[in-house]
Amino acid sequence: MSTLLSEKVKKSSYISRTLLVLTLLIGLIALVEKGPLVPGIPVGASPISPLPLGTLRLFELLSRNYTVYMVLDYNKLDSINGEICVFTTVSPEKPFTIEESLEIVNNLKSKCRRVKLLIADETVNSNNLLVAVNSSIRVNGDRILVVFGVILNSGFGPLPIEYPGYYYPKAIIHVIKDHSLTLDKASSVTGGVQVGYVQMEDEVHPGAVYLLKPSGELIQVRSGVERVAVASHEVVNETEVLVIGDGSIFLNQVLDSNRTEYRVFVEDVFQYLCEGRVDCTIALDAVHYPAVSLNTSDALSYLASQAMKGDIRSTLYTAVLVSPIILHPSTWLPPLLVSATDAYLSLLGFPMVKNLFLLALMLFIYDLFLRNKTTARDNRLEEQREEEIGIFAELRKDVFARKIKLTPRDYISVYSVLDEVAQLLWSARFEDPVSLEKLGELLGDRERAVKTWTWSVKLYMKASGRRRLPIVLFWGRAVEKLFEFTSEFLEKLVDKYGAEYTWTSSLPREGERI
Amino acid sequence: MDIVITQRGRAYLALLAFTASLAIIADYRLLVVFSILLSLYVSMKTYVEIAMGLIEDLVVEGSSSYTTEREPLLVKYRIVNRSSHSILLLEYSLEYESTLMLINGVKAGVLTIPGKTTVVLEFEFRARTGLHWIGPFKVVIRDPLGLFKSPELKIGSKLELSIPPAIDPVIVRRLYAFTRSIGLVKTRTPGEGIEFYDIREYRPVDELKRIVWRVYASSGRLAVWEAERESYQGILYVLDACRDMWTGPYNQSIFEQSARVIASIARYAARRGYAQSIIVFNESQVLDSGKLAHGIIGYNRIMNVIANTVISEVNTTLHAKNWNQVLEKLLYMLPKESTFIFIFTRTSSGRIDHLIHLATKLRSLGHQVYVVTPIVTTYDITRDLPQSLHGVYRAKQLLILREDLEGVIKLRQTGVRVISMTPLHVAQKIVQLIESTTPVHSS
Repeated sequence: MSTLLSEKVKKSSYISRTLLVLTLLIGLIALVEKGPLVPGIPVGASPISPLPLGTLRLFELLSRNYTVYMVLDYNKLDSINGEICVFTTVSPEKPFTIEESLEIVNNLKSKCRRVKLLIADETVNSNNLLVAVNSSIRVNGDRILVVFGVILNSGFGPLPIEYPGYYYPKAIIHVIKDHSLTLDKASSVTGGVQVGYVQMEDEVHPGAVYLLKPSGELIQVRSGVERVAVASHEVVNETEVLVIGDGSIFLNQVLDSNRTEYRVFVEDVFQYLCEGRVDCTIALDAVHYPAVSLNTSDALSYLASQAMKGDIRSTLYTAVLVSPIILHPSTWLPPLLVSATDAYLSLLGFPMVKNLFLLALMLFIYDLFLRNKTTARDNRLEEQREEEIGIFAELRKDVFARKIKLTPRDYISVYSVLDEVAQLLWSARFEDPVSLEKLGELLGDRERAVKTWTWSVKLYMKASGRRRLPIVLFWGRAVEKLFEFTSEFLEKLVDKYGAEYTWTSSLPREGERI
Repeated sequence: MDIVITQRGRAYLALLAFTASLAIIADYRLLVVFSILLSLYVSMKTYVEIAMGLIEDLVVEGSSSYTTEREPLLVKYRIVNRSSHSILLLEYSLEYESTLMLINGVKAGVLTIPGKTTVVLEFEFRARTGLHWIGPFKVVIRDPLGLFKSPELKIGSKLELSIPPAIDPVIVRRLYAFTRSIGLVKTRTPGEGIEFYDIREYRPVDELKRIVWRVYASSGRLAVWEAERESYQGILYVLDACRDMWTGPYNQSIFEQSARVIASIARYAARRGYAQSIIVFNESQVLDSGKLAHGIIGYNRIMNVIANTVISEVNTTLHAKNWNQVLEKLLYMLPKESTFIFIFTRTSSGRIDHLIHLATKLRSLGHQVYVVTPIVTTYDITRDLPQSLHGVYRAKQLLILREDLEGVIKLRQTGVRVISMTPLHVAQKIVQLIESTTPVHSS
């Protein structure tokens, strides 16, 4: 158990890195294939749009006092009921058809005791709604233009914008009380009881008022004789209709501005229509506003255009909406791959780079093959080595490696054997002349005995520091020579005396005494 | 266990990588070449993996036959491939104790084992005294191209062999001749024994096998052969089996020589009916044959203990703890009567103090203690050394020789009796000591 505990724990993941990378790769390709989620950016005065031209602010403002429904589809109308229901549409981008207008009106009539319509539109898109309730009011779809000076019709079509003037006529609309408002590209309305007019020339706004028809025809309104109606009111078959020929006064940019008269006007309009009742239900049309589906390039350009306008809120809103497009792999992966491929192909045009690529790729693949693999030299299996035990094993190794050098100490060591034996046998030190006599007898050669004895004793004196000569000496040779002599000396002793000490390099002979 | 890629395999992988790179960068048609090379690579690896599975199913049976160190030690391994698939290129190497010597057989080679066949590998070693091990096999599988090899696997089992020392019959005979020639074993009284004492008239209680038919044929009287009553002596051998005691040529190490001497003396003493026992110790263990036992029982126990002695892997100094263990064993085993104790050991400086302590303690208990020591350098090997280095080697050996000799002198100076002789003379000397002091009992 203890062995198990002491073992190093090998960590391994259930999902290998390769599998993870492969899965990610497959996921990326699938995402590219599927394409990004395309967000819809609301266009125009949609109540879901927080952009300056949207009417989300109106929705928020009304929600404070009334029950407000944002009609994103007609099913929503099923849930609307109440004492008074006010269906409101502000500058719809798509025209109401007769069928849907009838559906709206009938639906509301079936659910609500009283139905009212508020149409703030400078186009003819909402006229079918008026038709559906048999109202006589119509939005003309022209543009009220206040021009300074005289406009000359060139005969090539009117280009009013190039003339001095503006599309911002001042108007007075009576709802509960008179409201003096500046309109923006407003249209005149006809029919019903007119409750709002364009202010003609005054000191503040001198100039002629023109109506620019959708056909391009420019008609001057005679000052003091004619009046341009911008708001009408009518009750048809218990359905009250209020039409204002301008939706701009309900837009976010207007309600968020520091001008309070618009907000007051809006509050008065809905107070009037709701007759001051809090159980009034307001339905804001959100059906007739298209959502722009942006592709990748559109998204970026749309974001850029919003940024150029300098409106941070719009820019951020757009950025959030287009970010899924920008972040989606289908946006950046194909161009990235195309760019990489182009770069790769162009680089391969250079032979040196091509070779480097080849080498790098080869090394990479080689490394890939060898990853997590064990490599080893292809050596043969080690054979069992046989060993003879010797107490001089280390000594033998050192001698083999020639690490050992013979020194004066070794000389003294070998000499001491001679000395000890001499003392044992002859009761005299080896350096004693008595030993020389005995040595001569032992060797049987007096002359050689003298020569060897003199040499041995002389070097012993030098080794033990009692003499300085000879100055030049190789101790290795001297020790070996003395050893040879000692061996011979001991063998002679064995032969003669059966001596106590014997030195031999071979196995002991049978019967040999040591 | 993972398969190992050889350097040849690495080179092959480099070729694969090069081909793949060329296919990617230069010409995709090279992918065909790459695929062929890759399939070869994968097939070689698969082969090694399959063969590794076959190795696991191999049946390896080991058997051995031996008697004593004199006879060769025969080891036989049967490798049975039970599957129907052949194993190509199975490289093997037999593991065995490094101090053993293989004299016949191939200890490492390459085998091919066809399916449903048996391969027999025979090895002949020079036997040597003690407990030794042989096996298992190290094996490695390779593919035919040498791109892969398996990790080292072990197959078969480890055989443990207890080899007793051989008795030199010449020595034993010489011991008998020697003791009889100097009259050491003569008790001069009839009784239990093996030596001839006299011929006397047959009595009804005598065994029939002791009748001397030659006398009956010549004189017509029944007479029986009567033995001389043998003397009695207790002997205890203490054998040092430390690693430095195994110094020397094969079968001629100090330990083996000592074991042989002890075996010969024990054989002699067994026939003489002496009670004897042994303690064998080394750096890691102390073995003993129990209390002193007579005759063949004591002899067999001694042989068994020697045969189970292992060679220590590491040469370390004997500590006082080891010596105390030996002393404890001795005190447990020794009888009250005076006993001969022969300690076979070296007299190197690390042992002297312990030996003196041990001998003094035992002597104080009335036993006769002898330290039997060979001169170690006598047994050492010089044959591998170049001739030019012999002188240097010998000169350095002398230092160690002197240490042992000084040990002998020191022991003697402290009153410890030391026997320092060649094996034959050691045996004679010990027998002489035993017999000369053996008390003679009158019947």
